[in-house]
Amino acid sequence: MNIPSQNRFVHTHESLTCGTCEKMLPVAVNYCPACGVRVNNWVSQELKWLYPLLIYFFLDLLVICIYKYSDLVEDTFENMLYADGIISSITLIFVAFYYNDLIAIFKLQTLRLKPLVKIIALLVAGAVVVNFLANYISQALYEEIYYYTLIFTDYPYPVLYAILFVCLQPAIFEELAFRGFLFTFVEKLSSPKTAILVTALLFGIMHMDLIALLWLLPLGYVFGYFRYKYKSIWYGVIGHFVYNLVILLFEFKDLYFS
Amino acid sequence: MQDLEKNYIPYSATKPRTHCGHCFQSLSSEDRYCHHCGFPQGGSNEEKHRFISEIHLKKADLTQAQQMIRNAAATLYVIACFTALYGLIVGLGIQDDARLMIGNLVIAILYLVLGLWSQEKPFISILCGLILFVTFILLNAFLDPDTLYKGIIIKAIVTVFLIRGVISARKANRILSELPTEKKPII
Repeated sequence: MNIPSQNRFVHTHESLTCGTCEKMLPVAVNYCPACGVRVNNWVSQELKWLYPLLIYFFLDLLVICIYKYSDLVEDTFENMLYADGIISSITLIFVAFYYNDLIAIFKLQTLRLKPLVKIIALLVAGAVVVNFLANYISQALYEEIYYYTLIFTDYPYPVLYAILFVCLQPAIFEELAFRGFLFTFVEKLSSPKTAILVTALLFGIMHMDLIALLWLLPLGYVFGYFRYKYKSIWYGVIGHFVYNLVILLFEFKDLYFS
Repeated sequence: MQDLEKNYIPYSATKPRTHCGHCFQSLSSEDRYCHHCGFPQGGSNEEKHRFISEIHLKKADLTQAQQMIRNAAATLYVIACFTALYGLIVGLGIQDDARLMIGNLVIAILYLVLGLWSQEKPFISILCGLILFVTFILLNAFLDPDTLYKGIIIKAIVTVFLIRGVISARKANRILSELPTEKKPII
């Protein structure tokens, strides 16, 4: 007897039930053999993840544009705090709302020393390269170098403020956003590999610097890859903090010791 | 493998078999509908004809959706070209601003990559193109509010093409998931 290649073994413990006629179904069917109803309706899932992605992205964009480019707001340390505070609050609201979908990536048990050391070493090296590249491009195009930490120099404890608001805050909240819920949204809309690429693109765009896209896109890709590979946000958070810290140290060297 | 086989019941061993009249998947003779394509195997001739007509309509819709996707991809290529040209002409020529030139070339490359990616992942790539386009319109509006209505007709046309591309990509995905793979009958 010629056995058709479509025949397959059906595991009795993995049956589904039709939602319409309650007939037991074998796994991986498209339609119920009894009532003809489609079993998996994937369409309704898409909008559930697309709308929050767009809402978060354009809300953040609005806050950044108002702070950076609007005449209504001056570029001061206090206004920077307000803008960061608003964006961080929006991020936390999204994290709280989608906590059930994100809970797995917050587990600290997923942290392993060996990969963490490799990641830190990679990002230290990357930060060194990017620092020299960025300075070279800044000198060539702008004939000056922009220092993120200049905004803190008129305040007490500029080093502490710089570490808090240039290293720690972006590491936590940008990872929560881009490799946290935005990654999850895009992963559910498409695939993990697409999520790595798209979140890298959104990460790059959100920094509002076209020249910086040259290193922000690969950096976003690397963080996204860690999120995908280790199913954890913590490698990205620590890596991002280390990366920003190295850039900051170079700035301090230039500002205070040159 | 032997342990797994202990727990499995060969699907073919339980009931008499037949084949779907539409997609030729193996079915139990008791199944009223094909579990693969939804064909009313046990239904009336009228139900079967209606099913076939719906399949033809879905295929026509799919063709139309794929054309919209191609239009959206072409829109991304056009935006890439114009952005690159603007960067070269204005950045290199008129204003002699290397930053403007490099910035526009980076954006042009992004649009080009998204256009190429739309052949594989049309929904997400056209969506990213739309987000990018709207982002730069908003950014320019903050920098210079007058830019909001400069070239508004072209901006509106581009936005419409990209939105239609996103909607069509979603529609195409849905139709493809509903259309069965046509298989030859087993002799």
